[in-house]
Amino acid sequence: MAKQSTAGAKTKKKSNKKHHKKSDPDAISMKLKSQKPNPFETIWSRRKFDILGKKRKGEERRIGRARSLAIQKRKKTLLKEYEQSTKSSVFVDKRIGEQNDDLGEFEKGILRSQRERQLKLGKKSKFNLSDGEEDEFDAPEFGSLPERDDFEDEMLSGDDNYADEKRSTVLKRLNSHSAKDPLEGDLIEGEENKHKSKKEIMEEVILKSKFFKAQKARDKEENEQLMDELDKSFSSLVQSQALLSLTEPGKMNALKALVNKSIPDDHVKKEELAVMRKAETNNQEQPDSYDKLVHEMVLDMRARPSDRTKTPEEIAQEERERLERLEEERQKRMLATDYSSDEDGENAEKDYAQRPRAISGDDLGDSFALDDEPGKKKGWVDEILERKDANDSEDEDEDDSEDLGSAEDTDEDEESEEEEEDENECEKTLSLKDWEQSDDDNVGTDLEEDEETDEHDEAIGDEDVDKKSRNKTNKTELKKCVESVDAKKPKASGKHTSAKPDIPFIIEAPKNLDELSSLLENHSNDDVIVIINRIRASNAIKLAAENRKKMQVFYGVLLQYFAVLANKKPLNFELSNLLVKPIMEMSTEIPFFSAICARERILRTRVQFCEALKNHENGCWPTLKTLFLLRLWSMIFPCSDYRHVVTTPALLLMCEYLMRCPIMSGRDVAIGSFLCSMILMFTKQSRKFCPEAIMFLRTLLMAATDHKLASEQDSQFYHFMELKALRPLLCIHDGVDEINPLNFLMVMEMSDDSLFFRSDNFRASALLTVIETLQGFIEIYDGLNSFPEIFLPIATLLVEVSEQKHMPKALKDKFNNVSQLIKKKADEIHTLRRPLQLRKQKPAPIKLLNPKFEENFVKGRDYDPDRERAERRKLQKLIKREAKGAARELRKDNYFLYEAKQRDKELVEKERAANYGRAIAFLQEQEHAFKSGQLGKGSKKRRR
Amino acid sequence: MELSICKIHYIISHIPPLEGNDGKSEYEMWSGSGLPSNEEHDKKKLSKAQKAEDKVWKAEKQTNTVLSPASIAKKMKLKFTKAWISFLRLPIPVNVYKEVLATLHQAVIPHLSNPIILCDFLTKSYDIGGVVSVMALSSLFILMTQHGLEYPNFYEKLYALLSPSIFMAKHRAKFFQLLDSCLKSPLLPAYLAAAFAKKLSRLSICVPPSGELVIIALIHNLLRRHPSINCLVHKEDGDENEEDKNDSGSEKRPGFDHFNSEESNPIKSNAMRSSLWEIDTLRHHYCPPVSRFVLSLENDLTVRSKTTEMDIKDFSSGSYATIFGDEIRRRVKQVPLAFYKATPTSLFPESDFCGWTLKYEGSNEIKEQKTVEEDDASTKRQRIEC
Repeated sequence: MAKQSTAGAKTKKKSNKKHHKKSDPDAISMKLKSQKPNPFETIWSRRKFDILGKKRKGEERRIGRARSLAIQKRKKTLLKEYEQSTKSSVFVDKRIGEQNDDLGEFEKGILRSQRERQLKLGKKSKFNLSDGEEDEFDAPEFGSLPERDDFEDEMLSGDDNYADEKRSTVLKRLNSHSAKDPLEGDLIEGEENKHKSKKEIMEEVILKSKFFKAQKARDKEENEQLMDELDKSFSSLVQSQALLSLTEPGKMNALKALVNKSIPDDHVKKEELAVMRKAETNNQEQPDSYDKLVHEMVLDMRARPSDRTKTPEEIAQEERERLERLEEERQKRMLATDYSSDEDGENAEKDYAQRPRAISGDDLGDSFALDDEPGKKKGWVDEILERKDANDSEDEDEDDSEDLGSAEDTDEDEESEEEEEDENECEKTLSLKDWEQSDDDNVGTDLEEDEETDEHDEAIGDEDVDKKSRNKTNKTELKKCVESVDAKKPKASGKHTSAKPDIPFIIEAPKNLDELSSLLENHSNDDVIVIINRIRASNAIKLAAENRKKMQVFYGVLLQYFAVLANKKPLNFELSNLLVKPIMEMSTEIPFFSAICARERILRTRVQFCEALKNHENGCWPTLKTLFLLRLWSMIFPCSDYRHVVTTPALLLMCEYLMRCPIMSGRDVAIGSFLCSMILMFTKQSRKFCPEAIMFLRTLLMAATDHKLASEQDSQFYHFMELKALRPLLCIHDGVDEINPLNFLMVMEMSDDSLFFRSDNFRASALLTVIETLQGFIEIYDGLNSFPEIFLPIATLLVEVSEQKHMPKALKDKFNNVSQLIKKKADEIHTLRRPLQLRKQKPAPIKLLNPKFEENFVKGRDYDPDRERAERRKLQKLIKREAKGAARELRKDNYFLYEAKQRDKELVEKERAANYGRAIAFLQEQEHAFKSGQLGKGSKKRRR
Repeated sequence: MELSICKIHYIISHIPPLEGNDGKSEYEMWSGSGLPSNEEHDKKKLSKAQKAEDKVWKAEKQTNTVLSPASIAKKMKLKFTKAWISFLRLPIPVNVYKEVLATLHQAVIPHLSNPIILCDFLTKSYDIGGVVSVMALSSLFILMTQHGLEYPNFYEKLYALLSPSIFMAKHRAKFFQLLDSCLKSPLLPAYLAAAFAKKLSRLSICVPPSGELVIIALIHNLLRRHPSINCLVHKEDGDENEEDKNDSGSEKRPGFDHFNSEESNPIKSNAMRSSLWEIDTLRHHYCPPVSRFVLSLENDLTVRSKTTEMDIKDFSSGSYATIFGDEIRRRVKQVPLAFYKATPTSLFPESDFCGWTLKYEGSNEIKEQKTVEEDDASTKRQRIEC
């Protein structure tokens, strides 16, 4: 087609040039010529021989053809432009279909005739005899059309006939419409027939659909029947207890409930048709719940053999592994290398496990989970022991086990409760304050809380084993209860030696200090421990969920008891020691609560201490109670942690004591040095540096010297001494015969101005403790980089002190030994340590230049790992190619234009030459005629 | 005498500050001019009668206000200055002295006509040492920065002020801020900066945690401002050996600290040859904020470009209370517990508390006797406690 059109273009061009006189046959001959295939287009491969498997570049491109195509395109565009460039007006071709290359001559003709006919069928021309020209002028839209049509009249010679034919058919029809009525009737009849058949079809369709519906309904019924059967058999299966062994009890209950629900429904369904729909919907719902159950059961673990009882070796092994794991964790906490979040996201699981169970006012205590997490396992030995205890405490376990089973289900609730933890924490601390207040003075401020808890108990309605405590609602009855307990005690104390049998095995946990102290009154130390252990056993958290709260209250009370015990004047030190174990064990059960207790107490102690400092009271040094508690916490909680919620504040408090309390008397010296040794305990494992303790020991040593002897270099420390109002308290004036270790408890009991503190014996023993503690610190801190800076001044001080007049021999040796030790270690560090060097920055790695091998390498593919770069390169390549192509095109255009111009020029030249030749010939002829004597043409003609 | 001085101080310190508007200058008239008369009269006759007299003055002045406000202000400034100078010449008791120093830089210096005349008083009090000089420093600093006072041995004095007690002093916050701004100039010689840094780091082994934080911040700023003292924290092995050879080549002890902390002259303290081991030690400090801060310091120094100077204000007012409060305020998220192979039964095991006995003899019941021989105490300590 394209060729045809181009040929047309050529003809046009030529017709333009050579006027309109070109005849049709000539044009046709041109067409035929151009249709002859160009050999350069048909044969595009230059190869002479086919070589198997050889690929040649550019074979797929038909260069010759492409060239001719390009030339044709230029002819159509560039050449036209060129030709038009010299013309002032443009010839626009608006003939129908002339712009469209796809149309052949014939189609164009059809189009044109259609247009003509449309015009003729117009309203105006309806009764007009077609005159041709008139019609066309009537149509304004197609203004210039007729001329064009006229222009090609010659070529569209067939069109008119065609149009006439059409017209005639239309006329015919019009005629027939009036003439042939019966025929029409027939036609209509035929159409009616068709209608009927359609109706039938519709009916058929309806029937079919009805049939299908019925079938569906039947299927459904069958299905339901099947389901019913299945349900029946399932319920029988459930009731046959066969499943019971496979599934958990909780789930079993759910199953049973399900079955029970479905059975009545079935009955209803059978009886009433009206309710049938509902029953159906029920049935549709039931499978859902059933499905859920099935899913759950799939997720369940299969019945499996229970763990066999472990051999003692295995138990020991597990215990060891547990300890190892704990130690590892401790080390990690101590280093706390990741200092972005030491507590936050470290191990959320453990965190979660150790969080306290939230207790809110309306909490029924049923949302507690069992402490099954491995992290909290107490070790087998303990568990076994406990199990024995639990067996002792009769058979309440059975009731509880069910509770626990359901408690497991509510695990999820707990997670949501974590969010409420904040409030609960507040509540807890509030309640803490309640019992914290009544510490030394046993006032019954705990009343409200008691009542609250009692109500709480009632609300739960739990089966308390202790019958007496069940009905108590107010304080009088509570007291009665206490009395009844008291009533028991005299009996116990009557026998005294064989008291143990008389201690009840199950004791309700006391709720305030009064209860506890009255409970423990008149018992021997061992019995007290036994009582406490029994309280713990009978209220173990594992037994019942609500026991956790009880135990928390009891823990607080016990701590209070411990504190009060430390402050009692005839000190029962052994009992304090004995209490340590149960308290520690309880802390492992409720770590979070114990931490909160401790923090609360530390905070309060600090507040008291600050007030004492402000009032310049004598007793700003910690009391024995504080010391005991601090020590207890340092045992319960790990001191080596980098940061711990309890031990860090505790240590800070101890250091503050050392730093800020003025040393007024020998007692202060004793307490201070005892605090130092406690700090030594604190920091022993982690080797944390505590400057306060060192400085305190140093000031004490200074107190052992005379002021005059003190050398110049210590001048700055006199500021400290000013601060602490230190007098030469430890300066030994007379010979001391023997040195005993200081008895701290005894010291604590003495008053400040006791004569003992003035005695040289005290001074010597105080110095002894100082030097012992100092030695401990030296051994801890020998790894520190600035060890010499810290301890060398102390070493000189030691020497100074030891050279004093009345220093006993043993102490002197000790002092010298320690100072030697310091010097030795300082020397060591002097030789070992290097000046500080900043951490080296990571060296930039050298670029690797060894080749990288690609598997399955494909040539030409871009293996650049940097995709962006590869992409960019690709685009650049494309740009370059396009630029090249554009340049080539331009070049070719120029060449083409040049050729065209040349051609024109040639033509002009030829014409000129011809004219010239003619003129010359004429002249020659003239000359010839002149010469020959014949003049003009006439003669020539004549001659011819 | 002391009482009267106290009273004078009370009056003089309660003079409202001079301001531009006329309504007030009227009022200040009497106070400005009334007081010098006090001085001129007799210093011992100061009582409420004087105040009554002042009121008379006031009434008088109110009647004849002819002077232009500018000249009034000038005059009053002069009088005010005179009053203060003559007051400061008196033998002032210590508590008043401290109070004066504390308020001087805010209440007095801005209103004096020629603040430089205070320099005698201030330098004298700066020379006293201790807390007093710390307090004098703030006024002195203003004189030096705003009024062009030249103080010859200022840095030596400042250096001498650094002592452990300063970290417990009341006005430490202000002092540390001033110290930081005094050391701000990059024109300070390296030896001075090094001496201050080393001195501070030496102090860090005997001050409370709040002080440690300030020290670390100060040293951080020093190291940032003075790249020349980088040798305190970073010394290559090579040049350090060279120095050893230079310095008599006596002991082969690279770890020896040449710094002399007792030396009051920063030039002679030899700080440049030392290294900040003490700060390194603080990494093991028991207080988590301190040790963390040291770590961050180290980080900051390695990537110097990314960090900025510390704001001393954030640390200078710290105390035990703030640190303790921060610790207590932390939310309790997890509570690790100590673990033992065997739960300990006694509160104070003797093996850990050597040098102490904890037997109780007060009550009649016989407690178990626990004593410990001093000799084997050390061997017991060797045992790893679990």
